[in-house]
Amino acid sequence: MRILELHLTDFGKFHDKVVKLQPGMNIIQGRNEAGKSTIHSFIYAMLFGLEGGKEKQRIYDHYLPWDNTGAYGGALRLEEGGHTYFLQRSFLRDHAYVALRDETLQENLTPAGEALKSLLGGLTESGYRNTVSIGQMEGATDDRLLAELKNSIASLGMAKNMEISLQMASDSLMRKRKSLERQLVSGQEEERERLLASIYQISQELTDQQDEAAGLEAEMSAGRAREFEEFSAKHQEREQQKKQLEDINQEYSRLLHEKERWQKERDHAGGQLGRQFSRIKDEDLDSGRLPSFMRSPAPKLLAAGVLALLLSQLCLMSYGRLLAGKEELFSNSLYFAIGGGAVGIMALIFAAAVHKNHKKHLNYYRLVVDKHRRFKEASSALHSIENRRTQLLAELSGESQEEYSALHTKNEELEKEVMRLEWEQEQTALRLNEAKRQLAIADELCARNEKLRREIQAVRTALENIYAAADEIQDTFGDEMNEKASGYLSELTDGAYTELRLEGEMRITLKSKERHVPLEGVSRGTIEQVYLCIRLAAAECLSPKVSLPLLLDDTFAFYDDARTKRAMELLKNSGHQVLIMTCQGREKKLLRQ
Amino acid sequence: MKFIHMADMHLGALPDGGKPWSEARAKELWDTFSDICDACNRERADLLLIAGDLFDRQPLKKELKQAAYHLGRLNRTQVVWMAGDADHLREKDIYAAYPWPEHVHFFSGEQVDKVYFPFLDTEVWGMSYGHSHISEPIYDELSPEINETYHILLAHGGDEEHIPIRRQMLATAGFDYVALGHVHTPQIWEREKCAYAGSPEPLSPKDLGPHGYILGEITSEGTRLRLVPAARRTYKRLELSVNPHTTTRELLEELREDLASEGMANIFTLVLTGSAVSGEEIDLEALLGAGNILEVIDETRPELNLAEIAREHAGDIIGKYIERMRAYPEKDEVAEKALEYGVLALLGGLK
Repeated sequence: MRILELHLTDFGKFHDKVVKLQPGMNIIQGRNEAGKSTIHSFIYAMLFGLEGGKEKQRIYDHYLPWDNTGAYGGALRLEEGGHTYFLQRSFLRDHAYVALRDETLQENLTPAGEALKSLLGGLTESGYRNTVSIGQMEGATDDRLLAELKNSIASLGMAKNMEISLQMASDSLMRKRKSLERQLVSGQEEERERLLASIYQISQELTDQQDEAAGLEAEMSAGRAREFEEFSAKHQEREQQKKQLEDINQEYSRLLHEKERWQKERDHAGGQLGRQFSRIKDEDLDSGRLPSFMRSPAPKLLAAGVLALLLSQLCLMSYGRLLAGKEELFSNSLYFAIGGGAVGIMALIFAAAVHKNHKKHLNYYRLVVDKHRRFKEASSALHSIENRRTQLLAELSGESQEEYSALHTKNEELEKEVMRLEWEQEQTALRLNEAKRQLAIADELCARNEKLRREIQAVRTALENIYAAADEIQDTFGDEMNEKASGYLSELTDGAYTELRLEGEMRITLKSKERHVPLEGVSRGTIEQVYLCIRLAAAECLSPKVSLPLLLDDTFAFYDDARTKRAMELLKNSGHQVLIMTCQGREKKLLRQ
Repeated sequence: MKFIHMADMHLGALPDGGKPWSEARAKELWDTFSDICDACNRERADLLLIAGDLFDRQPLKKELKQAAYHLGRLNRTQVVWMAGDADHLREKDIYAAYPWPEHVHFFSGEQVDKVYFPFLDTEVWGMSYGHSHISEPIYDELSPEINETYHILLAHGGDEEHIPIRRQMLATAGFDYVALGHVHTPQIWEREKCAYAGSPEPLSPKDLGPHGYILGEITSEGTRLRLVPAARRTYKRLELSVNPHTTTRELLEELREDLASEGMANIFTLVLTGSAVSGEEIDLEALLGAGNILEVIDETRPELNLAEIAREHAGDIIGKYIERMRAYPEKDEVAEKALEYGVLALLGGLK
């Protein structure tokens, strides 16, 4: 394809400017800002339009005519495959259009966009930048330049596109993979297993605890029942005993009362005996025997009386005898006898009186004895009652009480134990819920891990396929391109360097005579030359169908004259239409030559 | 004969454990159970059928007491219940040992048994699980007598490890109603006269939709069934659409509006869809704090117009790469993602 004419109808500062181009080499010379880049952008805008994308917007804004005539557009006259075509465009927003006319056939081609695309041999914008538009290298330092060249060669050779860096792509994928791998949480499968086992085990524990609690509860129920039974029996017994105690107490009171009464009566009766009473011993009272000092003196008195009487009789008798005897004695004995008799009779009377008195005392004594006896009876009854009472009291608060308490205590303890077990069960249930919750978390993490693993797999697959695609490209296109570039290089350097070789990832060497020189070791000028060759080779290989014009924009800025000359010869012989935009006069001069 | 059919109450469970609303949910299970008992009285139901998993595990004494208390408030309803796989019978039978009120009937054995109510002329068949797994299809061979009596089967299960059930077989076995439990989402097959009551309160985010109990009536004309919603909360899925320029603040505003209209008490799973946000990431923590949000799922995809890219890069590695990846089988998720990642990386936009 060749561009025959440029019609800058309304573009930038140009109005109705027509530039005619030659089929071969063309030089557009001018200072910077004189319009070289305008033409470059114009051609781009004409071929691809100015709609969509930040870059296009920038160009649109930049070249929008200032004077607002309401028009913004232009035309190209092209030649391809023997036909001449007229391409028209208006860039104005909302009024944009494109028209393509086959002037040879006098036909308007519609849709113009599609027709244009096929005319360009399917050239994409990216392709345009890789082929048609050849600028200069951007690197300011030698290192940068070198890197740029290597990247260009690699990108072209493996990605078929200078703008794509395989290195960067693969780096970013590796980083992505690492970041995904960092998010994996390990050990979740094992954790799940562990938790499942734990849940089963805790369930078992709960069951066991419930069994234990049930057992204890049963025991407690039985215990309580027994307690109740025994308690009833015991209670009854106790009630009985209490009743008994009550009776006994009553009896006791009564007996005490009686005892006291008899004692009082006895003492009262005894009081009648006067002083003697205090001399009476209890044993005498008990046996009912009359104490010696209470025995009736009467007998004694009687005895004394009788004795006196007898004595007196004796005396009388002795007197009688003596009558026969002595008179003096008679008077004494008579007196004795009378005296004795009188004493005897007095004694008898006294005895009778005493006896009578004594009898009274005896009665009293008998009374006392009687009362004492009753007192004694009451006392002993009281005593035995007291014993029984003591016994009963002992029974009531004694051993059996302990036994009952023991049972009751045991039941109380069982109850506490049952409550404790219930609390334990609650804790176990909480642990069970906790384990279930953790299991849910582990499940979620497992699911998340699965997702991550699939993502990681995706990244791996992407890398694999990118490398595979790159290899394919390298094997076909890359090799082809290097071959072509080597040819150009040989021509351009006049045989100084005959081959461009790509070894491994980024090792590039140039064959100089018999040696292979690494790219790192060549001069800057040579690097520029290699770049040109690469670009030329790419233009050839990337667009085999249609021979595209080449737009060189200040490409030879750093070339020396000799190199420039050779470069221009190379371009001339390439068969492409060439548009060299430069601010130097040298190219024109060389062209004339 | 009017009845209420419920199942899978899972009393004692702690749904969404660890989340701020978890304990409230545990209490709500009891509240809703109490509501169902109230409904039995209000609707004057003759039977309350509990198709298993009344408890989430073997119950504690106090849980038995509480359940018995609620059942004790029924003034004319007979209760028939069974143990499911979660609250299955253990060695020491705590269910039989507990002094239930007279009107509560429990299937205490692992063999299918029957309980007959003469004044309702209704016979209920059922059994209880003795283990957490039963793989025999116990219910398949049952066939009640064809007579005036209403026959109801109280059953729990429906998958491989929990009594596989073939609904068609049960439908033709001759029961006037098959009251099913185990599946937490309610499902009614009125023509086949069987239904899963579902859990009255949803227990996990998978349990979307209404939850409650089944109110039914068996007459000589047939069996009528109706799901009565009773849940205090529902799980819902909220989709929020996102574009590369969405900010957290915008998203929060939209989220708050949605939460208010869908009901703040409910429990939500957030799904972010659309094109991935470029630039500042969305603050997921802030979203989680806006309400009862269970989790935020990011389903955003990076903005890629593959067709255009393929066209633009037909000649270079990107084009070739897309071609290679398209050769993988259609539904291969990994390949789809790989395609995306690869293209993004080659374009220089992979984050």
